[in-house]
Amino acid sequence: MALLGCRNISRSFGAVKALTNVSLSIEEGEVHGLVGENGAGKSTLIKIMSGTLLPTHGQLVWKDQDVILRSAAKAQQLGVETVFQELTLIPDWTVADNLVIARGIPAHGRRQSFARVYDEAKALLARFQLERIDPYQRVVDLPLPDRQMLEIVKAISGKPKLVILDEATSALLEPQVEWLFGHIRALKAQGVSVLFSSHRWSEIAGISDRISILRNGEYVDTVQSDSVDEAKVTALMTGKELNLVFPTKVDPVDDVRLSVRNLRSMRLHDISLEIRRGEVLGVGGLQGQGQLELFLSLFGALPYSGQITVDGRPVHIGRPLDAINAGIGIGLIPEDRKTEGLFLSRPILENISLPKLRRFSKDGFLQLRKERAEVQKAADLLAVKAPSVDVEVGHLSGGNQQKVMLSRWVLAGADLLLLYDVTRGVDVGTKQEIYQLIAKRAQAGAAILFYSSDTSEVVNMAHRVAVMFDYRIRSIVEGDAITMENIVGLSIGSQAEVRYETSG
Amino acid sequence: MVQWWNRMARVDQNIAMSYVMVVVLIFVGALISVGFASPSHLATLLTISSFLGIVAAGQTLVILTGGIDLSVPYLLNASAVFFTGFAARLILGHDALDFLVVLAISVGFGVVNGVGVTVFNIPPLIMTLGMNSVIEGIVLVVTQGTPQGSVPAIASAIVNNTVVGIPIILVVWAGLAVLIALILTRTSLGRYIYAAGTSVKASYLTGVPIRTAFIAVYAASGLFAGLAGIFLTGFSGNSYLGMGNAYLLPSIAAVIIGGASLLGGQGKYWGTIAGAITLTVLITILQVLNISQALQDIFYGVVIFLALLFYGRQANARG
Repeated sequence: MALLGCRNISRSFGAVKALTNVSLSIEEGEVHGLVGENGAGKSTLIKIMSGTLLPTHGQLVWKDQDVILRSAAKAQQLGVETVFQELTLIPDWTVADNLVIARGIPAHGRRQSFARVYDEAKALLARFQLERIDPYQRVVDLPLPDRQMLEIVKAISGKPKLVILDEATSALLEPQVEWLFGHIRALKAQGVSVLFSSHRWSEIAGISDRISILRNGEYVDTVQSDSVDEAKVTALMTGKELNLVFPTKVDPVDDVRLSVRNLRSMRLHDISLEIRRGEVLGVGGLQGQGQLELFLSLFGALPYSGQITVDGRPVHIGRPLDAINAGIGIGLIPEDRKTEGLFLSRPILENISLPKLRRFSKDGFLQLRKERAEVQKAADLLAVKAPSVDVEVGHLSGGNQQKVMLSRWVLAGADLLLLYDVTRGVDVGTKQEIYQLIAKRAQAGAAILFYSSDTSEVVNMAHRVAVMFDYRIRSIVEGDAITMENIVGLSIGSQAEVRYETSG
Repeated sequence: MVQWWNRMARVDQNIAMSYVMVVVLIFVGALISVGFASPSHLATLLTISSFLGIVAAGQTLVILTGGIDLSVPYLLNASAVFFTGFAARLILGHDALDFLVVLAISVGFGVVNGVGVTVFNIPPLIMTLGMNSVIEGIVLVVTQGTPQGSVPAIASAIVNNTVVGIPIILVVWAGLAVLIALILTRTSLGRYIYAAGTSVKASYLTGVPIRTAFIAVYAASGLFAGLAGIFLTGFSGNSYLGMGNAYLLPSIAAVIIGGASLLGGQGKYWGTIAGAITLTVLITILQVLNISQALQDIFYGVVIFLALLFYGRQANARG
């Protein structure tokens, strides 16, 4: 019997459709894999199933009965426990408080003594083979993988009927993933269902009975996991054949466009790197290891110390205006294009020409015809799809908005591009176009720093990859060594293990 | 017709609506009082509107950046008082020179507002409210409570004389309107103003000189309030304490009725002009109907609520 089903679930955020007409069901006692690219709607679907988001249309069905999950508490009453991508433990509380008190004050209202909470937590940790974690330790002092494991313990220690794991393994190391799988199998043996989402195919294939695929917010298919392979599922996820996705890499020129020596900021340690003309330098690592700070520092939006050399000339970039101007020629595609990059209520034209208005100024006035002609040229070069450049940018799709951002920097003559998660929230077709455009810019002599939350993009786009960990560059990987396994391994691998052992 | 309307940008719809409002109100006035729509009375209505329209020009620019200028009452008052005072004591000895010096002082006050807002990050509401109080204090000290002096000929001439039958002040107003439109649509500064008003964060990351834009709009607000103060002395024949107070709320209301967004980034001065005329005609009608000051104030407030409500609705329907 189906435990939890979705019937024609849709969810929009304003004009953006995150989910469209998704129907799938999770059977009792099955491990159900959920896959899709970034922006495919996995997180939205999981939020709806866990009661933290209401669907705009459609119905959830719990054991053949229609239900409306108005809150996470309501879902928990039914027996749905969720481990979210973002950690929900309270950082300043101890492990014991988080595990025991956060589960609710006992109905009989008796005060919980410290000792009782401690004992309960200790017993719980022992049940999950985590005796090495001290219940009195504050959560904030634990390494990320431990926190993630506690989160999992918290979710499955009750008596759940359905456990939802949203990218729960992204912060875990290999042995810890095995630990989790052990517990998932135990849950399954007790008839508990598990919904499991991950970016790693090996995990999905290793634990799931069935796999559901989402693409661009739409349900594609549910398949038996032993009947498919990675290529098949990736094709279903992207709507394309696996090997058609990325442009071929062309060797860069030798001229070093940007060189960074011992860059430090509030949190960054000793970053040194260089990018040559024609080169795409990928930035890898788990999210939040300093990638954002690096991009903002190089663009002058965060104070830094250290030496930055552009075309062999030492420069100081005190603010974004410096980065854009004065022969430095840096352009940033920021993390959130809607609030940090674009002016949604202004036309495409103004959005593109804004950083380089000086070029169109004559005797204090803008030469509108010249401006329009050059903006149109840049927009055409980047294949911006819009009826005219007078359309408000807010009316464009995510991918087209990103192309407007790229057009802006092409027009500004920026040939040192800092691309921070440039394909986030962009549909698959446009993603491919953007890959081609980036490759083309590189071949035209641009130097590109490329970060993506989708590691496969970094692997396939970059000539070299700087893997960041704890606000440092841990390693720069080149050539054939750029593989998914290497980058992911370095993101969380051996050194993390050392850290984790010493602090555990 | 409907299609043509739908194709217009939201801001332009709002501006068109505010001009429709002007025509409707004048029609209503003509029904109530014979001669309301006569050319000479219309010229008088426009002349009275021009003071508000000029003050609201600065307010428009400030609101376009997402700010607000609450110091316009004493920006206006200070320039009026200084202008007549200079003339009486003949400190500078030349009307035109007085005119420029007084405007320079007004711009200076505006620059202080801009620096406070953008360099010291003081919220515009607080900065300009404080500045209003500071300028009031300065005016009190300088005048010792009683403004003195006479109105120089240049001011009365601008308000009372005509060229080819049109009051000079209306020609000046039209000139200012064209100037502002040119700045907003044809200069880098105009683009920066809209950009900063739409998103300060995005502006910063796009290399927009935000500080320059902010200081420029507050300085412009000082300039326009100062101009209005000088013209107003020509209209009223003297200067007195509190003569700017009646312009605070209306200057903001005119901008809103003219279709600009209080959040910044959306609006045009053409709308504000309609807003200023609307408010002036409305008040005149209320006066013609002999409605008490108290009721007039209530009515005024309600009109502003309605304008905000109406435009707010449209924004929601779109967003």
